[in-house]
Amino acid sequence: MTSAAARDEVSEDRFMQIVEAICASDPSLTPVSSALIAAHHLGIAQDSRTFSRNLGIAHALVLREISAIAGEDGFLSIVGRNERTHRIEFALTDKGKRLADLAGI
Amino acid sequence: MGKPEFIGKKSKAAGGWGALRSCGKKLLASGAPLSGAVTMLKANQPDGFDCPGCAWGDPEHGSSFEFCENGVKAVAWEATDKRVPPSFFKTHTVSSLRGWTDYELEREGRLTHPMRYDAASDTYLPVTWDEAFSEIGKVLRSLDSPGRAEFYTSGRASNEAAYIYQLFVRLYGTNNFPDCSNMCHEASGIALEESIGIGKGTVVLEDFEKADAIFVIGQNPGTNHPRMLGDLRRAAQRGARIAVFNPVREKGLERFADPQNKLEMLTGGSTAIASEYYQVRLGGDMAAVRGMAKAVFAADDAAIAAGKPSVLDRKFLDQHTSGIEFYRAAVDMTSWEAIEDQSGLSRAELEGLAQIYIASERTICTWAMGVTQHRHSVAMIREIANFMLLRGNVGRPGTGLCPVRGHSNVQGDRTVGINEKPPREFLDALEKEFGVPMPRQHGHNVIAAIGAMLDGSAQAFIGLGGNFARATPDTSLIAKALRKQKLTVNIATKLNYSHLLPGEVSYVLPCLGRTEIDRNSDGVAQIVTVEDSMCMVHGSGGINKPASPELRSEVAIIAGIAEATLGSKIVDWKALGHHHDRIRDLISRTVPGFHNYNERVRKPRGFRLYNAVEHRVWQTPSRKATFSSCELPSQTEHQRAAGEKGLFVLQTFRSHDQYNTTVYGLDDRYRGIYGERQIVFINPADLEQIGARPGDRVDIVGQHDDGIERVAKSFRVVPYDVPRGSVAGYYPELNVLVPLSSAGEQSDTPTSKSILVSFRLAEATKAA
Repeated sequence: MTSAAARDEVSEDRFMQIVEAICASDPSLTPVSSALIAAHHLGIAQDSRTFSRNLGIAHALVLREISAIAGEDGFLSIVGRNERTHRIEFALTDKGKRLADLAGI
Repeated sequence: MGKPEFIGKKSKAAGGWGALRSCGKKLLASGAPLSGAVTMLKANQPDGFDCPGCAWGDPEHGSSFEFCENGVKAVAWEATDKRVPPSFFKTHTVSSLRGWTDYELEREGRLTHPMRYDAASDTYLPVTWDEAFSEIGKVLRSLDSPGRAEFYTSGRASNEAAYIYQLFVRLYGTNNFPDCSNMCHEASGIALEESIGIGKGTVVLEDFEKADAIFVIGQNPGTNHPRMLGDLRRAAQRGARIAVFNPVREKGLERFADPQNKLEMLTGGSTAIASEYYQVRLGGDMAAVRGMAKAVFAADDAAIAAGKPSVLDRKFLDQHTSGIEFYRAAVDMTSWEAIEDQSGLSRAELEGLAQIYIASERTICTWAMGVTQHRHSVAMIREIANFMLLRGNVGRPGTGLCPVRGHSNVQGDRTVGINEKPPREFLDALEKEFGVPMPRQHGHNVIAAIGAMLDGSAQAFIGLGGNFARATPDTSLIAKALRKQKLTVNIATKLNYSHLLPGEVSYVLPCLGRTEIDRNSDGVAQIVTVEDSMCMVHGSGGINKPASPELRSEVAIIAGIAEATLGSKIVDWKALGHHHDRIRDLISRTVPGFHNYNERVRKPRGFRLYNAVEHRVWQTPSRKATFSSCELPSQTEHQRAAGEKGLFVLQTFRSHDQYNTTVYGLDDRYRGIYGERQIVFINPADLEQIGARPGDRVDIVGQHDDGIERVAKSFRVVPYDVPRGSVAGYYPELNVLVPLSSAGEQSDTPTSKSILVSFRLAEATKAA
């Protein structure tokens, strides 16, 4: 399924299924981390503030989750930071993309 | 780094944001969010990293994610992707950088390499770690006495870093441990030690869930300990009375929207926190507490005369305290006129507050720098303890004394030995463990260290974190003192002003931050531990990739310096630097309360250090909690200023975008200040009196009577709700006005909340 198609079809249940599939593919990931990967791939959020606002999860929590899975060997790469708002923009690494593919997004 | 193309269509998420928020709730409910970090780092990471934002406790059942806006700022400030590599210094001389503010310096990003100052080029050049350690060791060994070196500690240092540091310094031969505690809660430690036998607070977070009344004195948690507001807010919601004494009307303390409460944040709602808010005069807290005590005694007399039960906890007083009769006499001798004049509060107000205290079965009193940074701060804190003892509000659930610390491990550093006056038992334990004598002569605190540097008797300064020159009083004097040193070494994550004051030999050694993964050469991730304001000790392991492969942990850096200075005959420094468990084993054997340290600290939330007061065991000479019977100061600075036209009392405080000397941004949103820090807050009537208009610029002139001219130039005046005669502004900019020679009695804490000043219109304003 393409990400564009996924965006069009994603529902609450579907989103949670995708998150669970990502979690199952890599048990080291938390549900929130998995949701970050899913949200990016589905085009729901590509920065911390948007993810925080849309999913109603405190921004501080989101920043920690991004920190935990970002990096050269991680699932996300940090592509921008706003010093004033602390917003982090992120992208999927190849590893993150592979995981999303594995989860069938 | 290019901005990624946003591929999404936000509105396409079926169900809209409401459904997504529903997903968010499920995600949060489905498992501890922190488990990612825990999983990644296995058992070595019992609780993720400790938020470096403040020393407030973590909740028992909540997630460690309950960190606040300021915690986010602290973490983001450290996790910046900006770097200060060696090439930065090719285009910036040290002299030129001295013209930058600390905000500008730190905003440049993380230091990446160990650097040595080169006087010829007036810049820092990269060196290897071995070169740095070797020369530092050589200079330290060349001093004719160990007492010629000063070893400063910032309260950010972990228990492990602090312990190995004190071990190195004591084996080197001195107790010279100036530390940031000397500038904040030293008075609390001294006063509580005298009153109840332990120099720490007596409450745990759960006590806030049980208290009927909470007195918050000289403290602004909205900016300085935001997570505390969550506990105050919950207390207020269940009906506890919260009485605040603060000269400045702080919006963040009056009302609070909890970041953890999504509904409040979404609706813009907030909870009223302080049920009583009293703008006490600067330095007048002791008089206010004395007034309340006077009213409590009067109520007790009336109750007994009427044949009613005493309002005092007579049983507790008889069994557990000594000296109440002297205290009662001191209270009786203090007139209401003196109390009202010094506190600025009326008798009726104080009697009303006493009624809140009497009606409360369980009372907590918290305080911070507004109490500790005065000449009479020790007497003031003893007065608070007296007041709390009257109704047995120490050593039972829902009650207690709570000095709220700032730096996240300032309390822990003292516990593990950063102390210029170490307890005899601790030195005995070190001698037993290592089989060599420890120095017994008391060392230097901050004030003494500065004095020694100024008079030339100190020749080396090692800074384990912090920004010594900015944090201390009389900034320009300190700058001169540091420049006179044979050796200056600063262990730091980012560049700051203190690094720009090199001595003959000067190093800046970059270390890992709290949020970064610290792996030893075997690839094993290390944790450190910290102690919060509630005596809880818990683990902290970083989760971010280090800012540079060259960075070393504070522990490893200290171990490197120690080995180069002392060799490894007595202590295998490399082994300690390699595995922090070994340091914790040493702490277990030499510091009371740390048995099974490695095991207990890996349990969720860690463990609480034994606090005898909880069991109503008093480790004072009389084996009882002890009342003091001090008189009120004959005259506070505020009273003196009231008698002289044009004289004011200045207090320094933080902005909301600030953590101690670290300035994250230029806004102070609770006080309505944006984009500027050269601000002085003043009562509107006083503004008129000095002939200025809102927005004018003034020079603030120090009026301490030691003949030294101190001027803070070009500060913008902002009318604000502060008592007449009191003014306020931000440190560290205003530390130039804090006299080194004005310090707390017994505590030597700078009197940063009672600085006599006057104003003159700045040149720019006059010209306009």
